[in-house]
Amino acid sequence: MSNPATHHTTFVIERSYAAPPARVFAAWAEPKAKAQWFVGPDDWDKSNHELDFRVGGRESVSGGPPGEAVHAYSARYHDIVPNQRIVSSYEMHMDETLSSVSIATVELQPEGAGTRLIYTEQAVYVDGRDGTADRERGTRDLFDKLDAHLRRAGARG
Amino acid sequence: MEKRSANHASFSIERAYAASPGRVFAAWAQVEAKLQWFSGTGEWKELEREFDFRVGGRERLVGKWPDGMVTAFDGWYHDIVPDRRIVYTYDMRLDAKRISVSLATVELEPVGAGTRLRFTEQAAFLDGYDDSGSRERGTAGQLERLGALLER
Repeated sequence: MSNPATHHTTFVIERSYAAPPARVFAAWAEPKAKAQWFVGPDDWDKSNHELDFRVGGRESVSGGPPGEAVHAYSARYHDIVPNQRIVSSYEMHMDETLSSVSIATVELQPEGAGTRLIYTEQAVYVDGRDGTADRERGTRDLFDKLDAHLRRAGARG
Repeated sequence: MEKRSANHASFSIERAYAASPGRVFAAWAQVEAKLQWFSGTGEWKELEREFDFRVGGRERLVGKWPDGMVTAFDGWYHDIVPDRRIVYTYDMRLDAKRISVSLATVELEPVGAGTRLRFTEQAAFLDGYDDSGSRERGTAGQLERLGALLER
């Protein structure tokens, strides 16, 4: 009997935002702001988002297509440098089964009046499936939502 | 404002042991066995140790080297499949400074009467800390000590 295959993967996403690093950082750090954009597709069922944004603090949220497996995200914050860097680790479960464990690094750099965001995710998938393509697509969707959130917040300010 | 950085790296090490997967796994799972190979060497002095080997449990090992440098390992277990797989994340600090956040996967596979161990580490090294392969060499050294323990 052999082990289910594990898949170790890394992907990087870079985005530019018109908002300065402090506003982009706030969108990750403030629970009300993060709940605005850190959500699954509109048609998914969703749970409450919990965020305790400090080193050693936890975050959780879950959701999924109606009637299908619940995707549960559970994170722990390892390193926080205001306006510059956030390093977290997180587990994804599909219903009760562990799917992957990741380290996510968010780096923010000033770029003119805006911000360059560099997101690096290092993951191991343990359920025999390499979910990297879906994960990367889902993360790009989140960063689109972050952009829309920053534009809305900017228009209000 | 001091500029902060992150460099991402990964490495994988394979080792063959004559011991069964059950014995190799026990050397990771039981504190008495683990402290014989997962520790500093020479004049290194243990200052603190916590060991709670279960999913959601944590491990902590702090020690002082002869030159006065204090190293701290803080780990969290995410996935444990007895005799097969262990996944944990950990922070390393040199003195008070966090130098890395890592994801480690230990996989055990029976080969004949023995075991093939594959250790994979995916790491974010912080603030220009120049690892230059020292993490990989240090891990390889620990896995050698694990092998010596299993042969006793």
